[in-house]
Amino acid sequence: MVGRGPDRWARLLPPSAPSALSRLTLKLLRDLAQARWQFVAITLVTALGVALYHGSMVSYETQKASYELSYDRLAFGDAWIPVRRAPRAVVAQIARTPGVVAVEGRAAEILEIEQDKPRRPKVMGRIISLPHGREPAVNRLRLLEGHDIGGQTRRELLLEVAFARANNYRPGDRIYPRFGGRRVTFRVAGIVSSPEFIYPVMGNVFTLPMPELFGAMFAREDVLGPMLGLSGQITEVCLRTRPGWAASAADAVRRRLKPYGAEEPILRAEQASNKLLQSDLEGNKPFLVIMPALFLGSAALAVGLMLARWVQAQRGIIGFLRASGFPARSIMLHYLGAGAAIGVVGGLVGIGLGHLLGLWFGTAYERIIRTPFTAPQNRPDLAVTAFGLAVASCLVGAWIPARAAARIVPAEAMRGMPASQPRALAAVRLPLFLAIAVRNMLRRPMRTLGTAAGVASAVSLMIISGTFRDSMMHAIAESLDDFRRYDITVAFVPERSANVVTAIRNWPGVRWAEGTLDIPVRAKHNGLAKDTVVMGFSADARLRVLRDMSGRHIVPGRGEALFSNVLAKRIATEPGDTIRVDYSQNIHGRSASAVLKVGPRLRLMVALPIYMEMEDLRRRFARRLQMPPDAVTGAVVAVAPGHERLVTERLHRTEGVGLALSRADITKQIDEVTAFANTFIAFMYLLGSAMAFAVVYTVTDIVLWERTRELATLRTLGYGMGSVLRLVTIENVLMGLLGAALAVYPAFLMARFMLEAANTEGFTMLMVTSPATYAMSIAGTLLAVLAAQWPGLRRIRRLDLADAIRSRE
Amino acid sequence: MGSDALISLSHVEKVYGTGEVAVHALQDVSLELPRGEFMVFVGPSGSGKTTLLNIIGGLDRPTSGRAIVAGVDLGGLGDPGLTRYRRDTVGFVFQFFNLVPTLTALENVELVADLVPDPLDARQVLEAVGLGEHMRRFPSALSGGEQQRVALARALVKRPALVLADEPTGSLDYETGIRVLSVMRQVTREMGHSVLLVTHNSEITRMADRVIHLRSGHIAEIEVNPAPVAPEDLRW
Repeated sequence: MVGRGPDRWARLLPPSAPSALSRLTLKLLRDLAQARWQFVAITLVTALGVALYHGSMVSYETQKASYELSYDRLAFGDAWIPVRRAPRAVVAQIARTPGVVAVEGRAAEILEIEQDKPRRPKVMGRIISLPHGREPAVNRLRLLEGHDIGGQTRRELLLEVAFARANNYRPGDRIYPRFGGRRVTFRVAGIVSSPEFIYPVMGNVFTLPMPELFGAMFAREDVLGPMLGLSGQITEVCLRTRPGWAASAADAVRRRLKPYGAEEPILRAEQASNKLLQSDLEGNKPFLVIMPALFLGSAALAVGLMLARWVQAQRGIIGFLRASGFPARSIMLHYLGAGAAIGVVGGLVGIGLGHLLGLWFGTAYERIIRTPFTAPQNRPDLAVTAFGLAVASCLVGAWIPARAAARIVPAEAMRGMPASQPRALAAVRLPLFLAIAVRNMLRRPMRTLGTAAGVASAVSLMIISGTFRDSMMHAIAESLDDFRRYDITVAFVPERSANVVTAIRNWPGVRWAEGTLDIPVRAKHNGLAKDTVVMGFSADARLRVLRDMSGRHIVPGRGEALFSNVLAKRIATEPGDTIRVDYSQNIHGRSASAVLKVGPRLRLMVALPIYMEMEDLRRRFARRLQMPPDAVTGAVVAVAPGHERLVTERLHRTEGVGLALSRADITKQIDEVTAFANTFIAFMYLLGSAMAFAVVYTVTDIVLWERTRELATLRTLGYGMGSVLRLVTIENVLMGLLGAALAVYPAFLMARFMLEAANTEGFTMLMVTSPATYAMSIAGTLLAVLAAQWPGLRRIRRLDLADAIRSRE
Repeated sequence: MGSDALISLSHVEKVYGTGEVAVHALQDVSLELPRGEFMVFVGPSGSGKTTLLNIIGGLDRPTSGRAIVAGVDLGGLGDPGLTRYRRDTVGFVFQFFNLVPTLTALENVELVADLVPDPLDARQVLEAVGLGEHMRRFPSALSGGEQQRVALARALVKRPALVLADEPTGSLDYETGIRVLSVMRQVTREMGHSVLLVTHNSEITRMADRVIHLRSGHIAEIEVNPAPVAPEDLRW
């Protein structure tokens, strides 16, 4: 490294190097060439930090811009007002409402959809009417394949792309919606993307995207209206409003539509797809900051450690330079230059890597989220910021050693400065090698702490990545194996009497079946409101389990509402508060509401539902809404081994069954949704390991350089390389363990912060860090320590001992 | 000597530390030294010779007293002034060479030449110290004596009024030491430099024009040598 003769790498800049370079700059470049592996390692960490920042920021901005572009081009609505049924003529009146820019009335209904083989026989679809002969004024579609439905053929529809792709639909294929129990054949005219279904979920009730099981489809209103029994009538009004007018305009429209059974307006922020997209974007934000910060912080630390070693080794040279008339500023700039060089190279490499990373993020995300229009962001400002961050962090790391170098008093530098040794240490009796290692660490406590902090940052990243993996796996396992002790989930369209569940219980292969009752509601507290679903839960439920935050079984009591932290935060409640739960109006023009006491928090993977006692829910809601007294909207079914397929098929053939999801279906959907997250976590783990190795390599190599003379002396005295290895390993392992110990608590805090921020309404995890994660992170770091000391030890083995011990420290 | 003196020290004192642990490195040192001579500070360890050299070289400040070198009153200079003084007026040669290991011999000399507006030609200076053949070598490929000659060339290249050498032979064997002294004597004489050399080796005083003996922070004696011997005649 520095302070000793240059090697062949340092000579890459030959003696005849261009005279334009000042000799001090030439020295800097050769010093860097000589410390090339440290340079490469720290540059890599810097580049990874920059790449993460640049890649994820570009990806974030691209997503955001793509949503905005799609919303803008396709006139995405600002508000939706569902009505029981209203004459189409009312739309013209609504258009005159202050603040309303555009309005569209449409008929929309959720239907059972039958499909040809080999597709699953029955799925659910939301069929929406389109005006004939013109584009909708609000929520337009983008035609991706096939043709529009404005032609002469009446029984045609357009399929939303996620559903079409998941079920392999092509223009010309047939599909069979059931209208009032009657199967009608439609031909698929085209495949479209819609701003309302970018995140392809059924609504605020089911937030897990299941494009194979649910899809949106669009048909001409003159065709659809009669089939839905809604000729000349609409069930939903969509508005585009002036900026800032959405709430007031929607409210005015709701009042105007009240005679027609208007429900509470759904503003854009609450629209299911948009809400999940925004929630996803927000959930990603901490990653945009913390992960790059962790890498760049580690790089700064490593730069500081490397330069501190340089300054120590070059005290004599610095003394000479100062004695020769180099001002302190030049010395400081010289060492800051080393930091800047790492920052510049790391920044440039990082921007290149970040570009690739951004493309990869975009492609991976595109598999789940297909935006109608993409707006790739070529953002020089982000590249400049990323570059600036890289240089700034390395300069921050270089600052302390550079300042120390500038403050060196030339006369003192000539004398050399043996490090002090606390006297108290002499009294502590330890085995010889352990004593050397411990005293060496205590001799320069700040340096030791800095080194351990470098190791700690690497361990932290591994623990954080591992925690995300553990938490996700735990959430999925808990949800699939503990909360759900059934094999098939059934949704009825519409709700019906629980008799159907009793009948299912007697089917061959069915072990047990229980009815479920889910009612979409708006939960309100302290002026805050959230659209969600309230679910009935019986104390004697066998197939479903609820747990509180500490893992204890819990059932909702009468008049009590149980829900998760996520909903609690959204409506700012604490256990013991009371909340209001409203169902505004159904097709019978009935509404219902209840005031409920908030119970203990629930552990839930899908985080918004409210659980109520089943009979309580029926009494307060189902009966008031004119549902059957023992209403169920679905069922959960446990089957005997080997009967899942048979029972599912029979359910599909059963009248009123909209959806029958097997455990395999759910697992598949979860796997698809979490595939990106899993890949991302694995990627972070890989980066964490790379950073761990780079940081550990840098600090270990620095320690070995510092101790070359001491170790050479030991060898001269007769100690073999085995002894040297033992001594070095003891010290490095102690350093690794100290780093690991320092890492645990900050890693816990960071993981908790990031996990809380990453928890969305669609997917929520409880923080879990398995002992294996701690063990693997620490063992991985120690392995990195052992591997990282290898080059240094090889160098010591090859040392010219006579030369090494003669050289001045 | 009066105003012609290269170095003029008046009641210079240097105290390290305070109170009971105060160490008086220099006590009431006054002397005047002329230009163009080869001068030696000699004395046992702790006599204050390096401290005196550091004060004359602008590396250290006296606790009290006045130091004027080449017409520059060092007492009135702050850090930037001392830096400028060191750059323009003095050249240093140290016991441990302090060459930059990642620069060749030539580049080490050019490193210092870059500092001043009108330096000597670095190659010619290296030729002058007998390293014309080795100027493209890195320090690790040079012997101790060769490294010290590079250090000497580095001190000379900026045409200093005064070359300060602190134990330049301290880490060299006899023959190499003689060679270095010989070059130093020859080159400085040819170039008209004044040299102030610090040593604890009294044999070296025989080659000096003037010898300043220090003892316990005092000037014990100033000896003018009417017939300096050639470095090759020194024995230790």
